[in-house]
Amino acid sequence: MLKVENLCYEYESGFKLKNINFEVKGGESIGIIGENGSGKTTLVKNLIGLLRLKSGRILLNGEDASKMSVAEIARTIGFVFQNPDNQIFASSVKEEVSFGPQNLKMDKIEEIVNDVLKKTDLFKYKESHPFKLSGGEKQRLALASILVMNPKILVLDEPTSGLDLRNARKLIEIVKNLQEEGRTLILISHDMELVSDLCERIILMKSGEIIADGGIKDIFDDSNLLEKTRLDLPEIAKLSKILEFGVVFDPGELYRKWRVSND
Amino acid sequence: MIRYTMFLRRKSILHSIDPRSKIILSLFLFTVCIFFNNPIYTGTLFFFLIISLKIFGKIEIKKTLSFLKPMLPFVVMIMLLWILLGSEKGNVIYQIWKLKIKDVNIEMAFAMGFRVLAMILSTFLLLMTTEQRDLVLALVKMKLPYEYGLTIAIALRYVPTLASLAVSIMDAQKARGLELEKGNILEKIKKYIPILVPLIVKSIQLAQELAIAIETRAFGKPNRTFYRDLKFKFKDLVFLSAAVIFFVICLYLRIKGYGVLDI
Repeated sequence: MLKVENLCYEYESGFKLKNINFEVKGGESIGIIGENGSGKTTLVKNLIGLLRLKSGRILLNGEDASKMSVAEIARTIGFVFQNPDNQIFASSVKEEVSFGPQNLKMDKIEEIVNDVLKKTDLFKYKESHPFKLSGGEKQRLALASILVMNPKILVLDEPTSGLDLRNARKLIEIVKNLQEEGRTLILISHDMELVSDLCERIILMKSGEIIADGGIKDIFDDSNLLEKTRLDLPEIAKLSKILEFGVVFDPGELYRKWRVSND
Repeated sequence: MIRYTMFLRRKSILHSIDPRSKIILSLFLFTVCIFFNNPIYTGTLFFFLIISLKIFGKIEIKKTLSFLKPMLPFVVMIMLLWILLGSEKGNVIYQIWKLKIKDVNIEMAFAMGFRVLAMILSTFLLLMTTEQRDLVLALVKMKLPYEYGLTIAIALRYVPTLASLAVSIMDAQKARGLELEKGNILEKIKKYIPILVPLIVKSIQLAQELAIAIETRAFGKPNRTFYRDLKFKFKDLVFLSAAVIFFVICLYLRIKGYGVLDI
């Protein structure tokens, strides 16, 4: 679905993305993680065409994405920015959500907008002013305004940052439903609990390079890698490693392993 | 990438001089530019400034020219206007339809071109060698009320923040299929609404937050003291004396009629 080959990018400041290679298959859930300034957002901005790579290739469904406009790429890769306030401009929620489909000249906009508002639990606020929404609702609005363009790949940048537990859980539930629909998910986050909850594969970045790409449990089990990148594991994974059960994210599974070892 | 400030950190004489002396020098240079309208004089002034920045400010000529580059269309326009619509005097050296190109107007075009560039450089000299906070502190020390000084400081400080915010908003809207480059001029103007609305809203929010933040830190209390202070040293006196002598010589030349074209 998405293939990145030898992607290189350089800012004027000198920061570089060096030789990035990876492939994303349909329906996968990938977490891009790394310290601040490791190049996660720069990489994603290259994927969606906001930054144009200096060398290498990005293939989107076999086509060269460097020849596509940002709007064309938006049909396949939807990027939900971290701060929803940076995009709200319309006077009602439905108007805000219909902005993308209008730009992409889609048909049956009202129908699609209503559908997405129901999926994101915002239908009741359809006529409300977006600025009157709470932080969690605004975050869901940002998600809805991308989802409405029906991208096959959904990229979320720190989606739960600044949200209270209830709103964060609600958002995670919506994202899980989207995963069940078969949508591909790329998640940028520092929240390892969230990453372990939503992703099965990790791309670990440091200083503009991918230093590891693999299954989440394999990466979280690699102590050298964790030390090198100063990654903080979810509490349950820390506990399971202390108990020498490997990396476990599910409390039920951890309990069962503990019972078996005690029996 | 956005350049947030014109200040270039170097270890040079110009950088070490008291900003108050540099403000006075900058004013002198700006005024001297208006004295002359002979291309040899204005041109000499222009090259003198570039070389002075290189020698006394350790600012590479290439760097200075890169700052001047965005001003070039403006300078070229002034020169063209002088060539095409200048004085009635002088000899016609070329004629296109009713437009007469005269020798004296070409001379004036170069004089004005160099004058504008020298005027810009005299301001750049101050901005390239003085940190914003020092500039504001100097203005306050020169009896500008602190409230006004702080206003200038905040305005300068928030230029990069707002520029960066504008870029983030543009990116967020582009990811929703907004194509700013397409359409006629009216359509293009309309397309900026989704960028301007969030930008204005966020700016107002920022201003409110900032107002609260400075009020909680006793803004407006009389007899404030300063963490940083400016000290007028002997070298500043020498520098200022040289600037005064330079100004007086130029004023004398102007009174004696040197460097002035009769048009």
